[in-house]
Amino acid sequence: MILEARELKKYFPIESGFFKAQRGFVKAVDGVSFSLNEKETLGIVGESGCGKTTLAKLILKLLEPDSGEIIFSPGFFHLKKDIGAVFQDPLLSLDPRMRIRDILLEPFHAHGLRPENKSIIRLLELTGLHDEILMRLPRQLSGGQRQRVSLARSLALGPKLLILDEPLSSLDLIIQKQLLDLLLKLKEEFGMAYIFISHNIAVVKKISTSMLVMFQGKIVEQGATLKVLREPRSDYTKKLLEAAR
Amino acid sequence: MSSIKMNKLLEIRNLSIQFKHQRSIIKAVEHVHLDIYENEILGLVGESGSGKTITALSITRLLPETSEIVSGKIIFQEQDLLSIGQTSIESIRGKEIAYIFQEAAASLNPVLPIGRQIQEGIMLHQNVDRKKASNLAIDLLSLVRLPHPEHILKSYPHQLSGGMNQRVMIAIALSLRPKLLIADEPTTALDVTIEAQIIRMLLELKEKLKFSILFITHNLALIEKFASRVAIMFRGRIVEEASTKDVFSSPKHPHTQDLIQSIIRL
Repeated sequence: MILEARELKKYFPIESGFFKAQRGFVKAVDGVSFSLNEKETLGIVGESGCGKTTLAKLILKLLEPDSGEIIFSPGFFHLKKDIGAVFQDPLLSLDPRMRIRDILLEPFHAHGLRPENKSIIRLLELTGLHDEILMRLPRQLSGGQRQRVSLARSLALGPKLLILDEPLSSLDLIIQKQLLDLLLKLKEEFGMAYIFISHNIAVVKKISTSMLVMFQGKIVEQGATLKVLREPRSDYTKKLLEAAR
Repeated sequence: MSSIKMNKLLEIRNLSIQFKHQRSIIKAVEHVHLDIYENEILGLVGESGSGKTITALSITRLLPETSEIVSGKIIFQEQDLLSIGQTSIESIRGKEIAYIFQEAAASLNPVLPIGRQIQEGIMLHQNVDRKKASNLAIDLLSLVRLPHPEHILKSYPHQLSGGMNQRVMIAIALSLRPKLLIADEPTTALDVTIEAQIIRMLLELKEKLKFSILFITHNLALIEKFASRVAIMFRGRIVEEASTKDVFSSPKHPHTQDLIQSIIRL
């Protein structure tokens, strides 16, 4: 097992008026428990606002839970090295003023490493990028190239887990397919675990071995992907399946 | 298809549009021919930058000022929309040909209540007072199945969800009973379950009110479910145009084949 989340909760206060009187809470993640095994791909599905991204941020420790805990298996995780992340909009996650070369060097530098040139070239090869982009800025690349750069950066330190938060949603159909195939290939090659967050159930079916469906901060369904999709129990999962057909 | 006689509603002939960017010229749309028939749903499919939106905007001359129409005609009700006077096009835009766009909240005015925004179009094109317009607005909101229309009339866009705002946009677009609804990625920003609801509603409204839909999307899988015909756009040109069934069973252009192979199916 790589990690186990136990009864995670994250509430955000709703404030209003001049004195920021607290009116209540948005229960973004409300008692979520799951575990992730080595080499597993866990798909997380749900509509906007159901708490998928908050959950991803909790795992990345970009947010602290209000209660509950995430237990990483002993000796396994150096959090920043071993978990990589790719988000939906690469334009927002790549510094607009940094050249691609510097973007790819940054994770190494942040950990006091001095990579050889061939490490960077290898990252480009892995993600299907040409080395002529190294001196370019993010805005000079296409959407698909930018997302590949995000992916290359997340692979830099050889992570054991990749968190992919809607990585295909901003891309054109053909590019989506190419990137999905790339993710499947990389997984096979390196045996990483993936947490794949998406609202697209067809994509989740293709990539994930197990899945959980979230609705209003809670898990309404979880299990092996094929089983969940074959015998959906919650109304929300049924609706998702119907919409995808 | 051939057994039913179909009347043309709109004809685009040899349309070419270019943009001037610094010293270079970008050809956004090249030699586009497209027919839209009465009471049909035509899907216009292509990737970002293929020229779909520019083609759609040119129909009622909503193009940005940096663009230039190089050639072409757009025939609607026996007139060329590209050459009629400004007053004539304004009487068609919104009334005969209406639009909905991807981000409904961005198309709505954030500082006006929903009711005022629905009434605006009605009062501009029809000779009715505010009271009558307000009643019509309530009818329209019920038509797009928004609960408590009286309450929504007084709400502002930020108080509604993305799906609700898109329903409001549809209500506004249909308020003057257009003959053609141009829907430019209307569900792309929405959750899949909401997307399914909105599309089901559009289909019902189309049957009820009898209008044609030009449905623009990058999502070929979506169009397969409800469009009667599909036109595939690639680098400013229409590379394939046929019935939806034919496009999916025997795609001719390599780009169409790529698109179909890229669909990730459940």
